[in-house]
Amino acid sequence: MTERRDSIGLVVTRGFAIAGVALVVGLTHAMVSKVSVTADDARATRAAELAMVVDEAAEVLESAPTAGDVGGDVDALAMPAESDGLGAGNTPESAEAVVGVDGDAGGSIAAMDFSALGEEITLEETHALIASGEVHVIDARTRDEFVEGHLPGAMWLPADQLGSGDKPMAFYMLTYELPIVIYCGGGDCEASHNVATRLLLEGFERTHVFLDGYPAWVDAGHEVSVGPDPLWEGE
Amino acid sequence: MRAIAGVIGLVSRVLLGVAFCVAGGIKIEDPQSFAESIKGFKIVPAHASEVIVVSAFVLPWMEIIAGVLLIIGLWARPAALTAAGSLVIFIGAIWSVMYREMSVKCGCFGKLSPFCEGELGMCNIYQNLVLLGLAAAVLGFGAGFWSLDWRAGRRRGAAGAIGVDPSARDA
Repeated sequence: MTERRDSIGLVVTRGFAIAGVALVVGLTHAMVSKVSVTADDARATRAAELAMVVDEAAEVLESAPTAGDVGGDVDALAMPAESDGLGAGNTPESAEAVVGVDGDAGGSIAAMDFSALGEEITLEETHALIASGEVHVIDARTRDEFVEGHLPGAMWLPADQLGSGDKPMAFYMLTYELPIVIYCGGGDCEASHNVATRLLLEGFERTHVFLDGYPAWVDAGHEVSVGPDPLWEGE
Repeated sequence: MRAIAGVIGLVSRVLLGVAFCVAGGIKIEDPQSFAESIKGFKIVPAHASEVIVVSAFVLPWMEIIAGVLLIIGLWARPAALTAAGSLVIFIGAIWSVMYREMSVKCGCFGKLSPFCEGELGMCNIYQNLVLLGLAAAVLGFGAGFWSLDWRAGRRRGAAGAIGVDPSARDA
């Protein structure tokens, strides 16, 4: 006795049934998840999260016995958090601070307002940022490419290391105060945009993608560093 | 002859099932990565972000469900058909990326690339063709030994043989 052979029609029907179940499970899972592939969505998610935190904090303070006394504090708490929502780092103070440091870098660099940088930036803007020293630079290419040569001061931090699990050491070196420049191999490479999306979800609002990437930097004759990233030693 | 078919069915469906479960499991654990992989393929227009996000969940679940069914050998042929369908889609997607001379990474096994290193290329197509071969073997030879399909078939076959209810064979 061998297993019976189902008719082709039954196999096809059941095959579609499996796909149908997957569709329902996948749709449900997609609805409860927060996955997003657009930078705008990432920002909106972040802003919504912040608004919720502020609301919760305000409720806690209002329900406190000394509600009368802390009325002012609720405002004080809400104000900075709200301004953090979308324009974090774009406040006049931080812009001034960055430009101030650029003072010694000279001429055109000092005149540049880094707080107004767009999501995608040019070679010149990247060069100016790196010259200012007040920036995190992230190389989103492969480890081998990084070892062969990278922008001075760059950390190796590809998107696949920024998953939902444990984050690598390099991630914890990032600060909210400084802008972040991410680059990959230029052209079609999506790697830097992937890293940017991840970092936006983590609340880093000042992420910039150096669109033309490493090849443009080399072509312009700028200095490069060679060798592995010390943050990844022993891995 | 029957023994050979049983072994081929068993080996093919378990290998394919494990590969699908692993691939699906890795993706469903980190849907953000897979969604970005799909976006990187630039097959779905970037403004249709809902389609990208939904695919990032449906495809891995399809792999997991088909993989589990293959491993336990229940509905093995339909599961192999579903697997073959998704493999054809994957091969088409890889081919289209290569045709457009884009440089992207395969999200096939998430960040793992057990068989193909580096960027998408012919290696990924060969890898999927091997899996497609396994799916074809299951479709052709059935679930094989140690499968729920096999047990169900034997039970019905026995019932039919002693003439209790011949129609049960095709039920």
